[in-house]
Amino acid sequence: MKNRTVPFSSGRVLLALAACAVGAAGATLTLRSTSAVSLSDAAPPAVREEATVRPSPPAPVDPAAEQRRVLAEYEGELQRHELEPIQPGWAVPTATGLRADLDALRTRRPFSVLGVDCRTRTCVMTLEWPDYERATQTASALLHHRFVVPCARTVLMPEPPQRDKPYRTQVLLDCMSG
Amino acid sequence: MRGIRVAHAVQGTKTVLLAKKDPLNMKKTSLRALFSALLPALLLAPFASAVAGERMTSTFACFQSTEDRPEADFDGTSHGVRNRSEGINWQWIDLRCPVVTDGTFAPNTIYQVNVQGFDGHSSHDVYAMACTSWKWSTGGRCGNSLRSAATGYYNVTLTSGSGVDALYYWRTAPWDYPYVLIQLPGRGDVGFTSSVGYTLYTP
Repeated sequence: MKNRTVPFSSGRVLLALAACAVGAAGATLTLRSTSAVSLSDAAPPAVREEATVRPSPPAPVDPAAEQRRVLAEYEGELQRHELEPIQPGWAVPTATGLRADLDALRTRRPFSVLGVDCRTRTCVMTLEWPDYERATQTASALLHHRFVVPCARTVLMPEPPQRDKPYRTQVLLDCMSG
Repeated sequence: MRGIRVAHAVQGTKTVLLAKKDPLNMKKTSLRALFSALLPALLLAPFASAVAGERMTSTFACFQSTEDRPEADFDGTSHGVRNRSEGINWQWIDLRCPVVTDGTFAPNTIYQVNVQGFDGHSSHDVYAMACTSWKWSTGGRCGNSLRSAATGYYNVTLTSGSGVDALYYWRTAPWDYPYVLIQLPGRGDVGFTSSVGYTLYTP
């Protein structure tokens, strides 16, 4: 540890107390003058071998089980969106703005917009690609796009059984939570 | 120096013997023990807490993921990374910046991320988001997108109310990869826009 200089304005009594304290804490103390105390750690205490227990890495995770867990979480969020009431004052202009954003994205990576559904605080954009490969190429752009509303967004594209078939996913925008 | 000798005595079994012999000594020993415990804590606490919860990373650690053409460059003014594109066809650049976590700096304890740099565009801003890439699936989650308010030096602050929780969204174990996304516009009327680095905070 680096040497530290602690200014002290009080007199000998307080200095002696500090000396007691530091001595008890296992550090050495050097007096430079009556107004400054320099602290430096003593040599590290010898650690017995049985005390150095290394943390074990987390148990291996079954990817399929983890995928199911994340999908279930996401399904729950989509269902909560479905249950939200529609607030037209927010939902209509936001959906219009999001459609324009998606049109801009589609010029580079073609995909179909099957629906943009906004409610009170969340929107779901349903999108489709000719195949899974092309869908995954758009994932990053969807995740990072500067949408008309600067809300949290979730993109989840689990691998389908057949990669060459049309691929559909729902992108969630959550304007309430961070 | 006398004080030091006494303090060392307090640590050993000698203390117990002294205390048994003389009640007055016991009182003194208790006081010494009290100061021994309190004073180092008071002296050292400010140093310990200030260092443990702050992790600064230079933007040089980031990866540019713009698909059009590479435009990230060293910025000699701010000593950060700038978007060097300019003119009417300038392009945004996305910088994916690593969030290095470990047992003492767990992602679910990060309560704030600050992104610093220079905004040289009066009509476009710098955007920052806290994100996570799923480990077992394509995609991820990004929190709210925040932006620099005005031209000049900026300090975009992502907090728990503005997207930091995306660093550990749905995580029950360290399985996904957290990162900070920084988006820089091209050269503006004030100069190039850059990012110098970002700071992560834990309690």
